[in-house]
Amino acid sequence: MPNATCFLVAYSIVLVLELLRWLDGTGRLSLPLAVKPWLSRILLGVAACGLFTHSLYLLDRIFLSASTSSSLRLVSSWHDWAIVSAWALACSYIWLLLKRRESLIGLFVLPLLLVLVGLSLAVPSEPLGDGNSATLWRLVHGASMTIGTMLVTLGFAMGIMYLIQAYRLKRKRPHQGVLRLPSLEYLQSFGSFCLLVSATSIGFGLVSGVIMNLVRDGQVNWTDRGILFSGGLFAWLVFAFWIQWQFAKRGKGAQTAWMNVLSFVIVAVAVLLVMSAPHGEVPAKRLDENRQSEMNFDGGAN
Amino acid sequence: MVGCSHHSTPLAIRELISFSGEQVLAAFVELRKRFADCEFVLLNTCNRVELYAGSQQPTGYPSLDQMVAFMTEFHRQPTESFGRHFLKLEDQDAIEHLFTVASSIDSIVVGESQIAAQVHDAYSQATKVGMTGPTMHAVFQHANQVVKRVTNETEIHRRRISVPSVAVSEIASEFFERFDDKQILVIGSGEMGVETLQYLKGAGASRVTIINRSLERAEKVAQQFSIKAASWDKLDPLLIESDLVVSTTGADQAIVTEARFRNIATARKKGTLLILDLAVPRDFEASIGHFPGVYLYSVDDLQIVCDRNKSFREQQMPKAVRIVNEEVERLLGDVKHRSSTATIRALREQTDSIKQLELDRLFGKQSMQDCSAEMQVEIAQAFDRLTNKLLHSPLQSIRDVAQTDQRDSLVSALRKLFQLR
Repeated sequence: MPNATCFLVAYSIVLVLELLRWLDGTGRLSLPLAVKPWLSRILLGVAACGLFTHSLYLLDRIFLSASTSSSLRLVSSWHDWAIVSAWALACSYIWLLLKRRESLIGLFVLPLLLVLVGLSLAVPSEPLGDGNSATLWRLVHGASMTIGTMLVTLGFAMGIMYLIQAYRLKRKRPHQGVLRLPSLEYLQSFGSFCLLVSATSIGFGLVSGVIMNLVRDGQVNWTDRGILFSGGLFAWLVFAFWIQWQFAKRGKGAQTAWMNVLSFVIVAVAVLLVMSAPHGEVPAKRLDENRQSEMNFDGGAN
Repeated sequence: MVGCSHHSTPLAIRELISFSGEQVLAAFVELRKRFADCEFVLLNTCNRVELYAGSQQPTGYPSLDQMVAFMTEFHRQPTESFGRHFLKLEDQDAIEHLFTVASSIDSIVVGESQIAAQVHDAYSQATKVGMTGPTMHAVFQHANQVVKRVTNETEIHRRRISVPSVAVSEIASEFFERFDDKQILVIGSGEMGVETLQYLKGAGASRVTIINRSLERAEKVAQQFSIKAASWDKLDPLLIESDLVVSTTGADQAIVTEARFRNIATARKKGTLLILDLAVPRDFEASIGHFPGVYLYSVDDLQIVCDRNKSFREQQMPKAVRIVNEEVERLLGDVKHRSSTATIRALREQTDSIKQLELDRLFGKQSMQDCSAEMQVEIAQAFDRLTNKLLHSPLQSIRDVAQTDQRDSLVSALRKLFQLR
């Protein structure tokens, strides 16, 4: 079965190929014309291989969790969160690559993708807290937070591309093959879409997290740092989307892009803070109850 | 090939010897009368008039001077004074010239796309009236392949070089994903405005308004392009509502000053505004480009892009010339190969015919009547082996000779030695 290094290498090769395309456009590297269409095809092929091995790795994780636990435990660890986010980002990249072959979107998306895969290797892969309880809500919570953070990451790439494109166009330097990017309209609308859907997704993740706690523990610890940071993040994203909408109405495109960039920074900080918090851990009272019931069970059996 | 082009012939001369649609047909009739065994194609464009002639027979076509004389006499012009303006090319040079012309390397604007179609149309027209034959088919059909190769293997046709086309396809498309939902304002209904409108309509623009000091003129253009026309006093409200503005008036000073635009910017409730100021002098003050969300491009900014594209196309010239040379070699090689193949076939047919005659004579003799069928087959096969072995070495020599000149002399010698027709 493939490991994370397989697709890390594949995505790195894709980034190198994207750099080749860019250098060829700038004229610093002159690829033969016959090679150019093949470069795009090879790029797509390697990206598809990366996604395929990535998907196999995810399936392996799912089947492994199913064989060692009574419940499905996808997105139940920080490793899973990073690897699923990277997978969703890779899917988005390939979709964008197919839709806009000429644009060099990969130069902005692939580094983020590689950081996520690299992060997955650095963070623990053990499930957070009691992996066997409240499975459905746990899954919904994990998936929502993953989608939310992935879209904020994608929105960040769109925001950076918008700022570069706007800077260049304001100075009357259209692409001319140097660094071909999507139109300002596309980048702005995609950035707004990412912010809106990520806010919705994080909000859904927050609510499902609260329900998960209620189902599992019968209570919610509102002062838990994980809940506080997630709540703060949701509030920010809603605010950011509203502000972005206001800016867009006034033709302040650069400010709308900055909202995407800022949201990414805030999400990154929030994720680091939640990672450092005892997020997902089972309260001590609940652990005592579990231990007590296990002892009773053992005694009864004896 | 004889002809005149923008390279060496003044426009005044080219005008006098160019052909109208009807004249082309009349010229073909006259050419058929004078040179019955010859094939002709007449290429007649704004920048060149060229007559191509070809024949399967080495002596079947007219001399270059006869062709020049035909061109000048047809237009009732003096051959002596006009003749010196003509370019005269034969054989390989003529083919190379045609390929160069068709692939737009020889055009005023390198990489322009019309010439390939014009060459194709000239060939089609000549074919339709029966003026072409195997020679012209081979050469002009090969010219199509050259155009395809040059298009696919170089970037000579890729970048646009006129200001309106660059404005729409290279600048506006960097801002907008689509044009059908954009409010577009065209200020001025001059030539540049109309040309830009053509590109905008081609890009899918549907919500276009044209505004002009003369409403009548604006309405006329609006009718032509199925867009709206507005009176001059509506300029500010239209600017407030627009996403893209193309300005092409002939005003002698800026029609929108910074102070005037400030009010417009305050009233705007829309996103990005792209202003393509194609007027000289400019219609919008340069400082308007500093407003947030406003992108102002003047004709000079666009001209820089056009010049860059033009120089990019010219950089592609060596690649295109190399392709033309390769294709000329290939075509000539094919023609020569076809001629040697015909000779080989003729020689085989001749030997087969002699062999068959001798076999018939042999089996017809009284002494051979008792010969069994198996023996007759044996004898026929022995004859086959004999002729094959005799022909093997000379034919193999022709096939092995790579250089076309040497192959020609061998083929010619073979024809003479065996008296092949």
